[in-house]
Amino acid sequence: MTSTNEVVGGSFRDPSGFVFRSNGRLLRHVAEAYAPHYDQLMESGLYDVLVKRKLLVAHEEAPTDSSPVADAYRVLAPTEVPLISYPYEWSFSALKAAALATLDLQEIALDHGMTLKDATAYNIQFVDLKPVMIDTLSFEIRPDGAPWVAYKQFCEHFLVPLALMSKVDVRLGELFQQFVEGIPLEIGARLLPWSTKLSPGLQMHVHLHAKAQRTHQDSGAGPKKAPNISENAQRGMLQSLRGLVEGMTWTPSGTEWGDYYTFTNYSDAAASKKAEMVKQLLKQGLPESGGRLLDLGGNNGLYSRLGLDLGAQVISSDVDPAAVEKNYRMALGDKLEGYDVIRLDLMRPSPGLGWALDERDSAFDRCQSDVVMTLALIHHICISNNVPLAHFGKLLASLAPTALVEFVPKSDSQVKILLASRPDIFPAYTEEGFEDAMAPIFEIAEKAPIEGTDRTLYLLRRRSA
Amino acid sequence: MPNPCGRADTVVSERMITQSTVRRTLLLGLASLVVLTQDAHAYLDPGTGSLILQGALAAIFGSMFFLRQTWATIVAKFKGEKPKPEIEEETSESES
Repeated sequence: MTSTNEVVGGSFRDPSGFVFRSNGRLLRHVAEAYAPHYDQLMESGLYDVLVKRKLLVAHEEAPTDSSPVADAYRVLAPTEVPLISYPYEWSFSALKAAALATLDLQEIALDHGMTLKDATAYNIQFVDLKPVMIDTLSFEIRPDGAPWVAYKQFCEHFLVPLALMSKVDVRLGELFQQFVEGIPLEIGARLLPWSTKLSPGLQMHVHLHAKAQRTHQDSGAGPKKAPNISENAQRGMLQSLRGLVEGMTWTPSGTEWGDYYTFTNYSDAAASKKAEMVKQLLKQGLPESGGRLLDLGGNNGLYSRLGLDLGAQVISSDVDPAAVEKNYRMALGDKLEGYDVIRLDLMRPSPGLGWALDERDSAFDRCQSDVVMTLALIHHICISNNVPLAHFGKLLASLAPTALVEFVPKSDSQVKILLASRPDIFPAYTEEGFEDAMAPIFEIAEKAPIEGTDRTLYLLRRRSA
Repeated sequence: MPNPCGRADTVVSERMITQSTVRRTLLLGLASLVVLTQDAHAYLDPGTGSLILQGALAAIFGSMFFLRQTWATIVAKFKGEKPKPEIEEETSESES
């Protein structure tokens, strides 16, 4: 046992093992109790099939004495995913892809005599925009006739959120942040429109399911017995769930910024000039190895993608579900690699959550980067939301050592629109005021007016504390 | 999704489902068919109601799976493709 071991906060629930960091390296302790399941996973060919299909993270075995706990059957060194993100930050399509991947995993597990013992959305992460399972210990040997113990969890983590987003309002996906264990069936059943009772799939898996849970919630005296479910019956259930998930759709329309790039303040020439300037400044800001770029208010990712050209890993974020959805779909269509899309509301960023606020890390803990970029965002934060310029600067400095900011002055038509319906209580919101506010936090490394507009790009370097 | 076809006492039609009284009776009826035989060992609480529902719907899901497989085999035969691996005879073990 060494003092550099640190157990990862979100991995204490499953007695089969836990995740820890040893000298910065991510490792997974496999308990002795999980031995037969681990052997079945590796020897049945299931692991190979899933890794080949990129549905499960690959791992290597590490020495068992690297675990902080004595009874390690194995210690695994999994391939780390570039960004940990949570279902309440995903686009509709990403959550749907994660749901289908979970069904794939369960069906392939059945082919190998195994089953998923949990179906939590937090076990799925995205690598190159595609869902991948990160919990190697989720598979266990399926006794003949065993029901799917994760059925309810699958419904609460995937089916209910997708149905609410698709049939009521896409913003209801945010309920996941409140209900960290998944949106309860009963709440889903109450919020869904009555017409969903006519869908046999939603009727069975949500409405009837909620009712069955309610009816039997107090009948738990004595040892619990489970019904016998044949493998074919379970496969039929998985097909039914798949058909239901595949049929759910959401197409963005009418939200605030969905069509932003079709009515920006830039002519085509100015837009390409701006892209060139942004790329040049990013090149100065990013490390030679590429590093990581965090784009706040990235809309559909048009400018976020410039980071990929420079070899950076990119996190493109926006507050608007429509923009996030478009960004994800376009990036997936273009097969982008090293690119993540998340929904992030700077006025209410994902906090630390769960037990001891430690099971789910805050967005800012997970998104630490080499450069943070905010193009045409500052007026939405500092004018629409009254955030003082210095607060804005401090936040950027907490996310990356270098910031690339596009300052949008009051003379810009976008700002005029924001000020049209309210008094101008922002006397300091000027280029000079911006520079004064940044001065204690950042050095101005570059200042570049964008031709054909009143806007200015700033490359800022954090002052050492 | 097609209406599930199973034994007469497990057929659920869309109209029946929408009538809550019938639905309640049906659920209880189906639940009574379920024989709880296995110990449920899970670190995750599977939910008693959830297990009972799975048992109750097993015959329907089993039949659906059977029908789909049969249909796929027929289609494959007509297209002159190699038939898929054998289909298991049993559709559900939930009945006693």
